[in-house]
Amino acid sequence: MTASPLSIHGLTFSYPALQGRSPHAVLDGISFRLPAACRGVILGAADQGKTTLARILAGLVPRFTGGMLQGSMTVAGRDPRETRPFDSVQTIGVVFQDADEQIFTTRCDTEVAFAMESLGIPLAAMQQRVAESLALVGLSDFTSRNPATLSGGEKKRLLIACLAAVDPDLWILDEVFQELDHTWRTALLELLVTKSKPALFFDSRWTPLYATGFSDLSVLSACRLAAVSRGGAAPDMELLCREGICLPDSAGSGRPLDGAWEPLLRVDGLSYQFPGKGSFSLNVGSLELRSGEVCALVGRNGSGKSTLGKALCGLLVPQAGTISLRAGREFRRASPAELNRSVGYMFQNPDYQIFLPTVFEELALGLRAAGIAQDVIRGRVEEAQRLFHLPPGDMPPALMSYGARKRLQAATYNLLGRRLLILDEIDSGLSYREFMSLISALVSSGSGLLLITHDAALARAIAHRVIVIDEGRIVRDSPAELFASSPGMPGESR
Amino acid sequence: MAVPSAFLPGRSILHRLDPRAKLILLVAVAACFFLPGPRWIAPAYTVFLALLVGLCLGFRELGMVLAAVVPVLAVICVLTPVFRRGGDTLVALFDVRLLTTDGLAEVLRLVSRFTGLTLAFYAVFRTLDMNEMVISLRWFGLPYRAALVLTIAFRFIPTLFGVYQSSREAHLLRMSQGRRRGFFGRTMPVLTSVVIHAVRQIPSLAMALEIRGFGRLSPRTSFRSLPSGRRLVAALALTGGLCALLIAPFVLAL
Repeated sequence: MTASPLSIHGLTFSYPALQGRSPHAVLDGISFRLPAACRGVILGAADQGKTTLARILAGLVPRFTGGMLQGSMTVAGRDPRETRPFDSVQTIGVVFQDADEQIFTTRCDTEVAFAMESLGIPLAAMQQRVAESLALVGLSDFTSRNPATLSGGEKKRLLIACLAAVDPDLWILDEVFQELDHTWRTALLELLVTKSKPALFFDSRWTPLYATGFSDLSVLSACRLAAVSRGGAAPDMELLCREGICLPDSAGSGRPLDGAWEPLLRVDGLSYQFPGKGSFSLNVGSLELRSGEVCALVGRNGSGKSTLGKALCGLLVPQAGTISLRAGREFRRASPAELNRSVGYMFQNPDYQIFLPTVFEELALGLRAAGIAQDVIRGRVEEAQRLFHLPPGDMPPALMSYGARKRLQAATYNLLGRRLLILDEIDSGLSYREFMSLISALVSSGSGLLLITHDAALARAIAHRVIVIDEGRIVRDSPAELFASSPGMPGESR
Repeated sequence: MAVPSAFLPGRSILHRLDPRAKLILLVAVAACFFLPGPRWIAPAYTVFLALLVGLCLGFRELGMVLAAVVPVLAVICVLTPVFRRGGDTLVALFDVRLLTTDGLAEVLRLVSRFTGLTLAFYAVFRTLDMNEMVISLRWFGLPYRAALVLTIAFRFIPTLFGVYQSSREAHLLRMSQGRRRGFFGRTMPVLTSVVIHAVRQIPSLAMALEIRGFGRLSPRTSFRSLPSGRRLVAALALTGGLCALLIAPFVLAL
């Protein structure tokens, strides 16, 4: 019998205590075994310890973070605690959840070659492997490109090319599907199957691809690992839905109730072109957004979703056309400053706007700036903490989990009472349940939502209306019930 | 997120010049602006560099760089004559000498020097891919680890600039109501967010380096290399010739 590439038994881990708080337990007695030449997936909502487990297996945690790790594990024939990660380049390969944390050179080809340089591989062999690996992920024309200028999906493909070039014995892939479209997800799986390469995926969402080609599926929740399927058997979908990792069957199941929506914002003949000859341009003939309505804006990478979103909140000033806001019964052309005050824009990364030492300070900041009385502020902050399931007011945001920081970001905008909120791919890294809960809390205040997402299934499930944008133009605007993902639409999840 | 980069791809003479030659010439040009010599040299070299930047990178690029230095040049033009009052009077108000021949000469010298140095560095950094610069520095004897630190710095400076822009936009939208805030009130929250982001990156970067083999004791190979043999000799000969041309006016003036 071939040895298992990955075997862990009774693994328990907690991060060190910070600022007088108790140690943060992440894993409790986890056991798992990946059969040879098989692929496994560990699903779990945000903050359940998936990234921590992935990094433990790669020998990075607790080496770089501190913490208490107990239990036994064998990864590619070794205990990661006993070898330095730089000595495991050929045995364990990792793709991080956030590609920007992992890419550090200024050219795609040197990024792919870096690990081979460390291994002392001769130049001719390196050149061949770099060319082959970049071709494998469709980045042959990007050899001299600065990786910082690539889209999220392209960065993930570049990191896959880095692994393919070294071809380690075990691939550990943390949320690698999140920014890859269906074509590249399938291509990655085919590559692993062709090579009979053992791989362990970590993901916060279920995708039908996990039902085929994966021998083991487990769910990580409340520090424990529960099996969803073993040996390629049909997965326990009920368990996945209970954990909020899987969308319920019916489209629109997560959608807030329809209401009497008032038109809120109108766009007429909007045109914006980035500087430079032949650069991307946005051209939107007409668009209307309404209060209380959830609109999804979907499209491929680079189709103009974020550009449109930034124009709607006044961060980009269009060269032509008008954006009007409702004032009483009429619509009035809005200046960028008026749009800043009326339309909120939630960035994918919550840390762009979080900077104060406590949750209370973060929530109260905008209210204080608006001149609201202290006792009113206290009441509204407490209400927001309840609505968005936030930790106590004295909690430092820097110590909060990623999901909690996203809820804090949403709560700050909710308190500001913006009439329209644009959510730029904030679903990334959150389970379906977490995201739907966030949407419900935001909609409860009556704001209109424009949800920018790659996930067509999520758009169908949660939005009242779906707008499809392609090459800077709106090509479809229809009720969510009539929306079926077009061929090649990225992120088709179910 | 669109990330700005210092390197501007192209096929101009400057782009095609050997990176080592560019670095040597940069040092030589910088030295020329500080050597004692005829007064016309610094303005002449500055005009030449402006033409070079305009022809190789485009006159729009030249305009951008000149616009960036205008505030500093304005300060030089206003303050220098105050401290240089020798020579004949050119402009006076009542009995106060506002501009003299010495003051004007000093203004020209400082303006030329500052503009020329800016254009020289701009020409090199806009046409030199950072990987090539690091390989060149290694060719000059810089240790590998120091060269890697430079690469990472050049990778992250534009990234952090992008984070700064995004954070500034996020804070602008969040704080658009209420009283108008001053410079520090606007800037400090953004800088705090950028610092938090940068600090969070440190352990991740260390992990990313180590899982790609950084720290192994075995010898590394190099994926990219600079021309050697005849091409290197030709590049060095060209560099030597250009350096001689640069210094010739100073020698002739002796």
